[in-house]
Order: sequence, then C-alpha cells, then structure tokens
Amino acid sequence: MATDIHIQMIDVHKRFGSNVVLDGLSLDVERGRSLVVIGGSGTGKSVMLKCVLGILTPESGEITVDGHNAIRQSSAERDEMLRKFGMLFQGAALFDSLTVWENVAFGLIQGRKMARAEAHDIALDKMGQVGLGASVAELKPAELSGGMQKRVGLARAIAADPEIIFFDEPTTGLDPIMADVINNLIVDCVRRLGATAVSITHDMASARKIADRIAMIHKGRIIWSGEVGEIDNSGSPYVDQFINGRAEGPIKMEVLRA
Amino acid sequence: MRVTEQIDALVTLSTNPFKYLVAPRIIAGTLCMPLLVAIADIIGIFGGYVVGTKSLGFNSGAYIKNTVDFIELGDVTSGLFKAAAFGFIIALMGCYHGYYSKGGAQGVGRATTNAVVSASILILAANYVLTSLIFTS
Repeated sequence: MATDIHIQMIDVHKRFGSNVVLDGLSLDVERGRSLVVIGGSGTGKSVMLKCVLGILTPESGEITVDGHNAIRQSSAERDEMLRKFGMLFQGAALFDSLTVWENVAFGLIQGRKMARAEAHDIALDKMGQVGLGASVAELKPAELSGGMQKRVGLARAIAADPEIIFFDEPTTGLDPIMADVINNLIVDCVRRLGATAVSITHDMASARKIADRIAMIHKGRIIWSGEVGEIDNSGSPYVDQFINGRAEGPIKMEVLRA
Repeated sequence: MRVTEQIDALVTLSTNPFKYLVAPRIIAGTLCMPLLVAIADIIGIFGGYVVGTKSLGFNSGAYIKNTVDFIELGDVTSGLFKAAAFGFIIALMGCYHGYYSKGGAQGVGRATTNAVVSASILILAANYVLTSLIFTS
C-alpha cells in the first residue's frame, strides 16, 4: 500500500542571522497518523512547525501540504491552507483579554465568521471533550492553572475540526500526572477527528504514548525516523542517548564555561 | 502578545493580525485623540474663567465675551486635526514596537520605551510640519 503523504518537507533550510537552525531538513508526514518529533532544546523543532504554518519563511527547500506549495502562496491561499490546521502552543498562547469560551471559539467567530451563539455551543462541546465544565467558560485564562490552560489550548486547536493538528511541547511544564492526562486527551482527540498529528517534545513518556511514528531531529536535520516500536532498537547512538537521557554520547551539549 | 506566541496563535486561527490587532487600534487612536483634545479645550477655557474671575478679579461677562470674540473656528479645528495626527502616530508606534517585540518581559519593557520615545520624536517633528502648513495656508 502506498503511503499517503499529507505534509512533505524537502531539504528545508532556515537560519536566523549566522545561526543555522534548519540545515536541510526533510520529513514526510503520513495522513491520519501521529508523528512525534523528538530532539533537544534549540534543535529547530518549533521552527520546523512555524515554517509549515508560514509564520516563518525558510531560505530554501520545499514544503507541501496536500501537494500544494506551503511556502510561496498568496495570503488568501495561506488562509485557506491554515483552515486545515489546529495548533496547541507550548505556553498555550491563550488570548488573555478574552474569556475561556471566546478563546476556544475564536477561530470559528473570527476565522469562519460563525454566529457567536452557535460558536458558543460548539466551544462548550469541545471544552467538554477535554474535560472542562461550563463553569470555567466565563473565566479569563489567567484564572486557570497551567494544566487547565493547556486543555483550553487543546480545545481551541480542535474547535474547527482540523485535518492536521500541531502540538508544540504539549506536556512541558506540567506535573507527570497532568502530563499523562493531556497525553490521553491528545490521543483521544486525534483519533476522534481522524486527524494527522505532528507533535514536538523532549518528553519520552509523552512521545511513546502519542506517537505512531517517531522522528529525531538533531542540528536541523532528521537523523532517524521509524515506527514507535522500533525506537528502542533504532541502531542510532544519537537516539539511544536521547531516549535514555544520558549526558555522555555523540550529542554534545554546548555548555558555556567561564 | 508577541512574546507569548499569541500573534502566532492568531495566524493559525485564520485571523489576520493586522486587521484584528493593528487596524482597530490605529482607528481608535486617530478618532479618540481629537475627542480628548476637545474635552481638554473646554476644561482649559473653563479653568481660565475660574482663575480669571475668582482670583484675578476679571468681570465674568467680559471674560466670556472676549473668549467668544477671539476664538476662531480655525483655532479649534487645527488643534483637533493635529490631535488626530498625533493619535495616529501614538497608535502606530505602539503597534509597531509591540508587534515586533521579542525577548520576554525585558523585550516588552524595551518595546514600550521605544514606542514612547519614537512617538514623542515623531509628534515633535509632525507638530513642526503641521504648524507650518496650517499657518501658511
């Protein structure tokens, strides 16, 4: 069976000044599956997602979504493409001037011009799916705990029933139990929508739970990818060092010494 | 908003940040500054009346008559026009520096300082240009 490629990145380069972040990154994301990209801090994980979304523009390389070029397109084409996407940001990135339900319904009201009453009902339904009751709907994001904010961010990401969902470090900054709750919600939501999911994380417990496939990024390139079951026998010393969390190995942390 | 990825979040929710964030602020700044100046004009004249009649012993009727006689419509409209221009500058500089702020809380502080400083300088320059245009026409 030929695999159905939903998002394809070919030889993508991105740098900030002299700092090369993506250095020839190539990655295929299969439709309807959950890919987790692992890698250390500062290896270009977030930049990769932002290049696909068009928030950042790579210097060279190709990115296609459903076969359409995602880099060079008009803003109308990009708006059209972004309707397929939902994203959960690392810090949830909730709009702090809006209430919880307005945050969840934002893409429906602003992006799709839905009536507020209708969007309100959908927002409450999506909040229910991530375990948030109607009692928090009128609160401001600042009144919620970190775990609740992540859930609101997740509800907002799935509000418009996206085909593709990006998760940027969904469990960072949460305690292990709340992290597992969020992992379960991610698995549930992705299954229910039948969506393609791309997550980036350095939390291996999270990666094992939500991934169908895992790819490892190091110094702006994908150095290994495979099914989640193969991760312990990857044959790559980089992957072994990362998943076992060892300081010694081929990955050298650049520690500044006085 | 930039530092907490909220602007990126807007983009992913198919919302143009210029239309949603920048345009309303610039319109609000341009429209509301003349209103504030109109209120300040009224308070200024009233303050002059209070000081003139209560403290300096002017006749209140003479104060009002002279005020009405010497104020021309152009005095008020030129002030309101300048206020609209300054409001536009203040909102534009606030949005520009806020939109491109980076580097956490420190970056937000720096962006705020830059917004105030650049708005002040631009207002100074714009005031010179507008004054010379208004008085030569």
